[in-house]
Amino acid sequence: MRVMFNYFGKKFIELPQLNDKMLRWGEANAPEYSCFPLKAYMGFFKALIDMDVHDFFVYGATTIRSCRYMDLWEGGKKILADKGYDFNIHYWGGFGTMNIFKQFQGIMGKCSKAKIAVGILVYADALYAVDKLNDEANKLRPREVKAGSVDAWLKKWYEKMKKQKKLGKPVKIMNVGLKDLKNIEIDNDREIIKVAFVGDVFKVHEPFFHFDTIKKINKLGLEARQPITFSLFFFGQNPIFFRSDMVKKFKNYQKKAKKYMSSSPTSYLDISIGEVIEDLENGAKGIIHFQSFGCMPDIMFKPILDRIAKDYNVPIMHFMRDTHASDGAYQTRLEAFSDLVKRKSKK
Amino acid sequence: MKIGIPRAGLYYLYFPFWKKFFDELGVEVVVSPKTDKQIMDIGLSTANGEACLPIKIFYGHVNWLRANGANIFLFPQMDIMTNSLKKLGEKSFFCPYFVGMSDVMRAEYPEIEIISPKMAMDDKTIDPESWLELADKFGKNKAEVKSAFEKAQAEHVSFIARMQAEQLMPVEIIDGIKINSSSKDKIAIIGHPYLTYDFHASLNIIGKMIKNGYFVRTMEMITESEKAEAVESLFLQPHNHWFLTNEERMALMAVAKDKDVKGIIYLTPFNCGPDFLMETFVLKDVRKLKPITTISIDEASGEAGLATRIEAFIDVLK
Repeated sequence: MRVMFNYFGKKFIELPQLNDKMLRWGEANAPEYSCFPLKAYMGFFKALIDMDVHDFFVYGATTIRSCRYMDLWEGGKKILADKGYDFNIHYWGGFGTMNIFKQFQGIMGKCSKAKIAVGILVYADALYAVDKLNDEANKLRPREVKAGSVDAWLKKWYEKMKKQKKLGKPVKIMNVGLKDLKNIEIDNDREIIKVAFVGDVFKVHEPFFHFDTIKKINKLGLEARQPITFSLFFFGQNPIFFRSDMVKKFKNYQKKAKKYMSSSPTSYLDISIGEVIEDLENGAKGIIHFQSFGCMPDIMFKPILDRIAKDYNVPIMHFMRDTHASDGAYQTRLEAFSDLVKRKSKK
Repeated sequence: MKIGIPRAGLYYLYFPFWKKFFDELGVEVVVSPKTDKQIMDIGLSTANGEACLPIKIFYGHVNWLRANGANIFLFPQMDIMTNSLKKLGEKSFFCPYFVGMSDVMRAEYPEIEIISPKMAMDDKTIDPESWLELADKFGKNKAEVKSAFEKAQAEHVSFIARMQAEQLMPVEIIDGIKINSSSKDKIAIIGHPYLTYDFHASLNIIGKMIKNGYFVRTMEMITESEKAEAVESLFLQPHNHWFLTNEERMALMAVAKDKDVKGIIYLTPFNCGPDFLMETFVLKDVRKLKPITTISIDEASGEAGLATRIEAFIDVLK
């Protein structure tokens, strides 16, 4: 997003790091039955308004089906408006070309359709590059010899990426970054056990939400991929800005998920199931399901994941995240789960 | 062959359609009995503890049917709904439990046979496609299934028309019993049908209001013209997408404007996902027009607590 805003020459305020104070504000002001992500988003809204931000740019707001994400923005806006706070929401969602031009002109100001099309390509370029760097980091982190070296590498190349504004540059930066990986000492003989990490789309991309699960399990000798990446979603189903490898992957996940899911309550559940099955077929020895309190898709997802775990004979851990969940309790459960997975994989 | 249909979930919205369809095909239908303590207890002990009460009750009914001879289960896959009232947006959805119910039940009970045709609707017209695909399953030809579907569709339209024209609750038509009073004093009980008409789960709130001398108006009794008028006064976000919540919103606004309705009870399952913004978007406005109370029900709700709430509310109305 930042790279795209750089391209359009627009000021972009990065979301502040979610913290307990923001969560508490969201919890106190969100409606009683809200799911955990809504409470967190309410905290984000307030923090951004306090930073004098009054225009929010929201991606994907029209593509998720049966989930409260669709209520989140206008609902949050009305709740805050009733409290005297004011802001505008600009949506980017759906696939209709004219609709997308209109959405972009709403926030980027008067600009040609050609400029918008290139802007989206810049976004896609950066998205692909960032996900690729992140994927490499997740593969190498459990095998790094010097603790923290992979994350230092990732941070260095993220920072370089954030300054880009031209089409093609993010991928060039990514390629240089990948070459730079040879400077990190890796122990390829280390025994690492693969597990499937799964959760709703709102949490699995935000380390504060999921208590940095991937890094935590890396330290325990386990590895997991970043689930449901945005680049998979963007390139896998976008009729204009697609990548054939991602379309193939996307369709493959949907195909794998068919055995367990014929319906489509949200746009990501079947992809999540497909990824879990692929991980298990590739030797994953357990499933970590990170749930949001009050999340309806997660509640219906749970028995389906339990069935998959039974069918593949692997342990599964469900962890419920709400505003009171603690990092320490999660760590303890992860350690116990890690012991279980390791013992089971030795049998 | 016996098709098992749980008397839970969307039973009180679509049972006449389902029953007519299978009757026309000559397939026997077995329906679970009304919810009682035993069914509820089984549901509570088998369902995911985080689900809302109506879903837990659904599990209870499915388990009753498993134990009582159903060999095929009907769990329709709720799909996209469109509404002729264009202000409501192009499409709306049921909550993910009903969209994904067939998948959840397949995961929970892999030994049972499930049919899950889609219920996608354009206003009152059900999309026939996946229903017609059931021909082979029941050893019928396409023409027979098409005829059964058309008759079932007509039954559905007639069911809705009767509820609105004769001011009948769905439970009165489906069970063929008269429940409502003939009092001129009216009270509205607005909520999802799987809670409103489940007299065990809702602690028979309808019966309690009738006993107190009121004629009860429910969501399904709101007429098309009332809905059309109501929708104009609602705050609707651009992606207004919950089908039943939209129905509730229209019903709440309609009864708020009905001069014969003395007060409104908004009945909701505890922790209902789609209903979570009801206070923000509708109840605040309704409260300015008419007395309204919210009754939230879960498995721990008790008779005494409800009786006290009802007495207090009736005092307000008087």
